[in-house]
Amino acid sequence: MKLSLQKITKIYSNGVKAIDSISVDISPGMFGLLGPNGAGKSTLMRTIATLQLPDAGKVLFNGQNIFSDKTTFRRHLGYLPQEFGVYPKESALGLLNYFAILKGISSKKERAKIIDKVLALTNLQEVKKKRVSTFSGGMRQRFGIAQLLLNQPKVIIVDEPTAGLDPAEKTRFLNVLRNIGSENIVLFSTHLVEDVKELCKDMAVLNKGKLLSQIDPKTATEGLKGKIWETALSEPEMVRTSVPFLKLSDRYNENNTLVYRIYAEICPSEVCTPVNPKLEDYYFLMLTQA
Amino acid sequence: MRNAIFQHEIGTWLKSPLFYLLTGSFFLFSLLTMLGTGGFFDGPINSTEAVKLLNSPYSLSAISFLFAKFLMFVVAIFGGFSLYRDYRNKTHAILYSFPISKSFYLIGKLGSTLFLLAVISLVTVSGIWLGEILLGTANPKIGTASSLGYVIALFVYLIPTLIIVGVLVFVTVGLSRNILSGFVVVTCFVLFQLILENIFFEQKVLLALLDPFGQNAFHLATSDWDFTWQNSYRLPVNLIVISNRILWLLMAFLIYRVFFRKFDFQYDAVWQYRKDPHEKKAAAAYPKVQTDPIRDIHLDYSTTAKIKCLLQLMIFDFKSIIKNWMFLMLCFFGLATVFFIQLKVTNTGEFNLFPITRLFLGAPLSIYNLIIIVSTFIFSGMLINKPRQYKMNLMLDAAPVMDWQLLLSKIGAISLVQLVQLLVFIFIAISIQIINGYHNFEFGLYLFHLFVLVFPVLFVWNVTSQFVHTLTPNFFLGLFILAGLWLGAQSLEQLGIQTNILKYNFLPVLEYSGFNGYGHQLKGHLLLISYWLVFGLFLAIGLSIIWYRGSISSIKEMLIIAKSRMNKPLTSLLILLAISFLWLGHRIYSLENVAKTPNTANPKQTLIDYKKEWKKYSRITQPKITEVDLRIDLFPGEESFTARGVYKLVNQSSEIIDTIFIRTGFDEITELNWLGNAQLLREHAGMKSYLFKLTDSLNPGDSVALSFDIRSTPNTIFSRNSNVLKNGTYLRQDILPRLGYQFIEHELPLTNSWVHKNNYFHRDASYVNIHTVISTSEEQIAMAPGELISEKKEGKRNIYEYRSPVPVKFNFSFHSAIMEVIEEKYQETEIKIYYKKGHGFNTKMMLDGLKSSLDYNSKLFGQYPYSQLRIIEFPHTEASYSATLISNNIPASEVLFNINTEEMDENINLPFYVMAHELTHEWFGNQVMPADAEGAKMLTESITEYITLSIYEEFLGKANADSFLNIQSNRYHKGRKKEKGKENPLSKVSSYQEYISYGKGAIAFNAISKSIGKEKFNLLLQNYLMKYKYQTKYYPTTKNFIQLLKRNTDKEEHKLIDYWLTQTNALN
Repeated sequence: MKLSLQKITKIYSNGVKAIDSISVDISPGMFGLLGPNGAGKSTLMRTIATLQLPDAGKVLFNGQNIFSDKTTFRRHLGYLPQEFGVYPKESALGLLNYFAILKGISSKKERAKIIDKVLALTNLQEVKKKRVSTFSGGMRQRFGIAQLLLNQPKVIIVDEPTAGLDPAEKTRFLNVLRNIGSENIVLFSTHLVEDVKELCKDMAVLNKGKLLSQIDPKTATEGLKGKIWETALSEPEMVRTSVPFLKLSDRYNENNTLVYRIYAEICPSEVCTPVNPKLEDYYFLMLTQA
Repeated sequence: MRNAIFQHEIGTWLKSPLFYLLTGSFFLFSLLTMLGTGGFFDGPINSTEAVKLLNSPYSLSAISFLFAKFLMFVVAIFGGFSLYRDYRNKTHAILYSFPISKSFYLIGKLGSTLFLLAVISLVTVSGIWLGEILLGTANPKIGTASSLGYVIALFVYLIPTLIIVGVLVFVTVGLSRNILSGFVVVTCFVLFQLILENIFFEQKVLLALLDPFGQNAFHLATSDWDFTWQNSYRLPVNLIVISNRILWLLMAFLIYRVFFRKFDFQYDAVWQYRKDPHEKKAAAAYPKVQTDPIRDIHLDYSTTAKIKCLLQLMIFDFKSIIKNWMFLMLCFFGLATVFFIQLKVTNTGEFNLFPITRLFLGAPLSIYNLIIIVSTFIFSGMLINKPRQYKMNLMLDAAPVMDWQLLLSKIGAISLVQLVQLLVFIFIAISIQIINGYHNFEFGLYLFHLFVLVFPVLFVWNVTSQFVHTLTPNFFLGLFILAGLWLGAQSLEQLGIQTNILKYNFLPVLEYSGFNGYGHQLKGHLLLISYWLVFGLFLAIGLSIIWYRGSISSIKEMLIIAKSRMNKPLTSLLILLAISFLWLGHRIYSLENVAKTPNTANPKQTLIDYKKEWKKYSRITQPKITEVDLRIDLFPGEESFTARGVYKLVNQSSEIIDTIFIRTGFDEITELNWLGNAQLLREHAGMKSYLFKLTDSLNPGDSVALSFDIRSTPNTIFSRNSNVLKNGTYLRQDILPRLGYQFIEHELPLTNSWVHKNNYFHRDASYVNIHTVISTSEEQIAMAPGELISEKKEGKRNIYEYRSPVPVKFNFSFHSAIMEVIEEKYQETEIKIYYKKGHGFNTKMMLDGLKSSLDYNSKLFGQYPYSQLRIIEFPHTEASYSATLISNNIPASEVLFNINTEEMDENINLPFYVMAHELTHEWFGNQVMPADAEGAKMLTESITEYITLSIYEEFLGKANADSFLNIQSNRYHKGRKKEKGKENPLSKVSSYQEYISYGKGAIAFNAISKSIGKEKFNLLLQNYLMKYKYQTKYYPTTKNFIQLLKRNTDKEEHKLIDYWLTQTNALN
């Protein structure tokens, strides 16, 4: 099973290139799409979910162009958009039943069975008769997962699903996702590096519509071994060294000192200490180099 | 301190194209209405008649009510939008956390709403004002400008109404946070007025106070205004009007106050935390992680499954509508309106009708149908926009459901809603019938009318609405376009466009009669339905092409998607539908215009030319028809007839006649045969007029025969040319040839020296003898004037022979129908009532009316000259009057037969009254024919009404007679208010002033009779009758009658006679 994006491009009517010739191959497992706000992640997600026509390029699922027969592809698709609402006055049960009908589960018995299962999976059993419009944010996201699981999708697209969730909810959510991601393609977009680090076996970094890199998280951090440094020197001070470096990020340490993380092939200064590379370093490196 | 919210709202609307579109549209609409009504597009107006001024304060206020109704659409948009905007965009989440006061916020919002409504009212009225300027004071419909009139129309009627409804909409949207509720509120408000008018139509003051539009207060304030006052500068405002305005403004203020107190800066709506029956505590603990995989679910995408899915989606959408409180409110008001309109239709105030099915399918169904259309526009928009509105569109669009399933589910859901609404209508109608004790349920008629004639039209509106709402994501714009389409279809005729193919989904009214069903026009109607259905299908396919899922960034992308969908089968289907639509349109257009000659294609010009060329022949003396011999063969199955006849024409003048002017029936093909006695001099085929030169001149006293053959013009699918019906034929004498130029002056002034020469009814005959042989199909009975001499059956035809035993007016009727008969011999007269089966409710009262009239009139005015007297029911579609006397026949409308006499208490016993009245015309109107002069109706109708009153009193009692007089008084006052010209005294009453000849006439003669004594008055009537009975040389005028009155009464009584008969005075 493979999802293959070939030179996908999308240009909006105001001239903005939301996606710029992106090519990437995605195999079963969790695939993280990382990028800052406005990178084009949602546009890419919507395109793969057949909800937006690309201006150029193809998306192949098992060798078939998904845009030539969108309905067939949608049979294997589960999609959770970044922002979604629900019909008022509809219970979780009622709305899931509606979605199940849409997804082609024509037997009432089978619908009841699958709905039970997805409610259990997402721990919404106790509130199944409650109106979805009254759910908390986390419960709503779980409902979103529940609906996408109804048709046992092979391709799951979740667009920034953990945005706005508290740590407990987020953990629950990611656990559910991990569970279902083992045998299927799960394309998961986020701007939070730690989500990708935890879950994904493969990832891509996007910025300003362009694909900056595709790599697995482990390899990404491995490649930075011995090249990441920390220093308390400010950038203007660092500039005096002769070794080229790139500032990746900064943070305040426990002593309230501003500490910089930098990338350099060799140690740029004696005041720089080597540190273990993190995925964030790779991410920021990609963004900085772009 | 400036209110920033107010300014911001105004600023937002001023940047919105929709504001300018609405304002501009209403300006144009008001301008064009003014110009159209003023005849701007029609050329010069004939200003000899008095016309109603369009810019009098009365007229300006009256027209403001029309615009108030249309502006309700704007109120629905503007009224709640300022508040709704904050909820829709969730900006209220931020705004409500600001340090602003409730009053600052709400006053800003409401103030901007009302300000915009005031602006649009001003713009609308300025359109009227500009229309006045453009029409100019040279236009007879424009008087001297009255700015006060505009002030009253705007500030007493229009703006307060918009404020009242605007506040209501504002509050409703504020509470519900749903913009659709505004539309529902204004619809219910309009219906509320209708309901009030139907409940309180007799309690005028209460109605005036309760009407939120102020319209009934206006009517009450001007109830006694005659034409002159309506054209004057009088202001149509009185205490009742002011009270109504203050009452409703106060009500609006109170509603706002209650809302103000309830309102709070809360994120959720006031009703948000209503108890959810299934509310349970949400799971607080950490979840157990489920690890069992999901297996063995069968995903079915077969065709059967898809259809099943479609049905399930349809039910889901259907339920979402019918459970919606706005829909339920609309239905409630709609059904209440139907109920009260039905009450009004069956209880006109003068009489009650049985709640027969036909009555429900008239006005009540029209209103209800409109409500179904309004709910279709609103709720189809809701279905289309709902996924986007609730941000579920992306999830739904990503589902593996086909586009056609989503589309058809929405179309199907709305169709289901419409079907349910129609079924509810049937249920309500039948319930009302049962409550009224009427059990003749015509289920077949209900089902056919509603599901074959009405539903297809609703279906096309359904598809149209979905198409428009899909194309225009702006809900208001979609509604505006749909309202424009609907209104436009109704208004095209005003612009001179007659063809039905351009009136979008608009079908002409199809009348139903118990006799003849829908008549031959049903075919044309069904053809039109097919035409629009084909277009509806075309639109449905078009909808499936433009339908998009997910998001599109531009129209270009939409077109790309549309283009990609255009596969071969779809394109072929579209082409096929387009061709069918065009072919049907062409066919309909051809059928509409069949047999149109250049003359008939432009009838206005034809008439002008004809009058110019042929008027000179009006001065030629003509012979009189004295004998009529007819053979008429009716073919009800083919809706046609043939006739053959011979006239004997006698020169009753003192001049020699050598030229004869003949006119033949417009809807008939007539061949004239002079048997060699005349040559055709000239003809005008368009006006069916012919000038003949006699071979031998006709000296005074001489006669000549004219024979003729007539056949009916075949009906076309859209026009009825033959008056022969499949059942219930009612032909009149206008199928026969007539003599003389027709556009001559009638009702001559009393001072004209020729006034006694001609009778009021016809110039080409005095009294005639008529002999008719009439045949019809074997299941029907045929009737003609005169007494039945013989009847026989020949093959599959029934043949009847009739002859008048005494000379009669040239006033004939020929009937054929499947009838039941009631017979009774009374005195020397055999009375028969012919009626349709099932319409026999009132035959006894009709018989009583005839017998009473026979008794009374025979005693006073001489024996009834016929041994046979017939009442013959005719379909209500054939004439608007309830009955008339034609020799010894009284054709009577089926309306009269359907009067619910059991419900009459204080009302007049109409079947009795009508028959008594009509039979009295045998003496006054037939035996005595008045001259063709002003006041002729006094000598026919007024006298007859007085005699009917006397019969009423003698046979039914004084109380009933007093009711009779009361009704006549109301009739007079109502008619006086509508009078467009000058109110004439009774002695000079015009034929169209029925409120005077009937209403005032009865009261006047009653008063005179009371004054001089009934016996004396009856004696005077006898004298009058004896003097002028069967007169042909000298026809009497009101002058003769008044002279007779005065000659036989004391001088003190002359003042009273003059007061009632020769002066104009308003009755108290």
